[in-house]
Amino acid sequence: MSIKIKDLSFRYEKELTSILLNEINIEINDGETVALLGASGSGKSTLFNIITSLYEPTNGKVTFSNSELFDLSYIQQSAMDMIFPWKTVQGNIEFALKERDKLNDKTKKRIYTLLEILRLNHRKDYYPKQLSGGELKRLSFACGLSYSPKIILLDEAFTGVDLSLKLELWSFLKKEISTNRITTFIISHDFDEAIYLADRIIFLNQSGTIYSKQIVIDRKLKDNDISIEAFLSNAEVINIKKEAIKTFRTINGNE
Amino acid sequence: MNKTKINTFLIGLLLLPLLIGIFLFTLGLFSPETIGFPSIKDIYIDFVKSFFDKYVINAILVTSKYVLISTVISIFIGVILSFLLNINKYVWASFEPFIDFLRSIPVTFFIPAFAVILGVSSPNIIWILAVIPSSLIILVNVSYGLTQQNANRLHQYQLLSGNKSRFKLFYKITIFEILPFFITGFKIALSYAIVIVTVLEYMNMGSQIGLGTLVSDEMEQLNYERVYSIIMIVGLIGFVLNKIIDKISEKYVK
Repeated sequence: MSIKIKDLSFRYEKELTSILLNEINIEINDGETVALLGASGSGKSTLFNIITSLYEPTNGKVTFSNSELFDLSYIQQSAMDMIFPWKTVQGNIEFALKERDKLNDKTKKRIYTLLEILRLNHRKDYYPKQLSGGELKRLSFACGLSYSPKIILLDEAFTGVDLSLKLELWSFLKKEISTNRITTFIISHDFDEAIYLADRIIFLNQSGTIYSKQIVIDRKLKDNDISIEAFLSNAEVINIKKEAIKTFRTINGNE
Repeated sequence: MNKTKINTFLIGLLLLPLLIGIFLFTLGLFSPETIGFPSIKDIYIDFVKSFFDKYVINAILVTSKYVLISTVISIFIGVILSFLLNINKYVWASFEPFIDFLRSIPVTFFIPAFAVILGVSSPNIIWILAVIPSSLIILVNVSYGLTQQNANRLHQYQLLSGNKSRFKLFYKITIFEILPFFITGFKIALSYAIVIVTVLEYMNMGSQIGLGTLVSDEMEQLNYERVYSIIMIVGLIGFVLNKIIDKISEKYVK
């Protein structure tokens, strides 16, 4: 399932003069993971809000091939934005499936697996307010993945997460993405996260356009068995990171 | 209620008036004997006795009936109006100043107008007057809840459910989002209703004898034990009704 963003521009209604996103063209292929890096306020989250139909673009369009908005999962920075406080952990995870009339033995098994992998099975009858910050974050991932989406959007989903949980979630997500061939679009400020999860890194500059240079990460580097530590300390990966940082600094006028 | 909560409640009920009495007495602020103030023991004895007095029981029923009628009607009016006025932000913005204006007027100021329309002894005048501030407080609270809904969560519902129906969004999400605000408004509205109903009864409005009317009558007969007993009964009615709301709401508000 691919995402195609064509000639997309956006400006907020009241700000008639400034364009936030300008002639954006991005194509994410089936099963590909793309990370978008850009400074704060450059319009990254707005782009995701347009992809998920919260905002209408001023110009251009977003299309999904062989897929639709129904197949998309949007995991945001604030876990509570996708968790319903009046439902239990299990109720929250089952919610999307129930709403889609897809709660059956097979999907229940998946929920059980998600609860186990994300270490939430002993909390399944708890309400969100009884969970810790890390558990809420894990729950938000479980909710976003429960209905086996074909496309995942991650908007700074790991921000504010402690290092050990972050590594755990990266590894979990990477497996999910590759096993189920999920098309993934990531917004991040973390170069390690972008390099570890993405196949390609693109940059959004301050003028709201996609920077011409992109960084492709060789899939061979991402052997499924390789640990995150080993991957990130690989000389080639370190060079990719240096290049990404340099590009980021260039688009932000720091170099 | 668990055992600790019951104990805490009893300590408050029995000891707090006693401590206040001792404190005021020690400071020499008043002398109970000279002003004919009943002892706390006498008040408690009369409080228990009053539950076996058919006039008091009847007054409890009358006051409770007025309170419940006015609260239920306030919920109905307040909730419906808040949804109508929050159809979009411009409608709410144009009505909000008027609501604030109306909210600032003490309900007693409406008495002459309603007395002329309905008559002072009308059985309906009490609950109608109580509905005015109670419905406004529910209207303001529910409206606040509607404006404070988590927009990201509403959007997430549409993505997670794959559903764009506004009606489904309303009963699956909006109702739960505004519930804490509604419960707060409901409890304040209930307190307003109790105060207004008993005060209007005290002013001998309406044709039935409620707790407010009894206080007025007992004051005239210098029966202070009964006056304070009734005050405690009014407090008890408020306490019980609030506990019932808490019990119902804790099931849904997490």
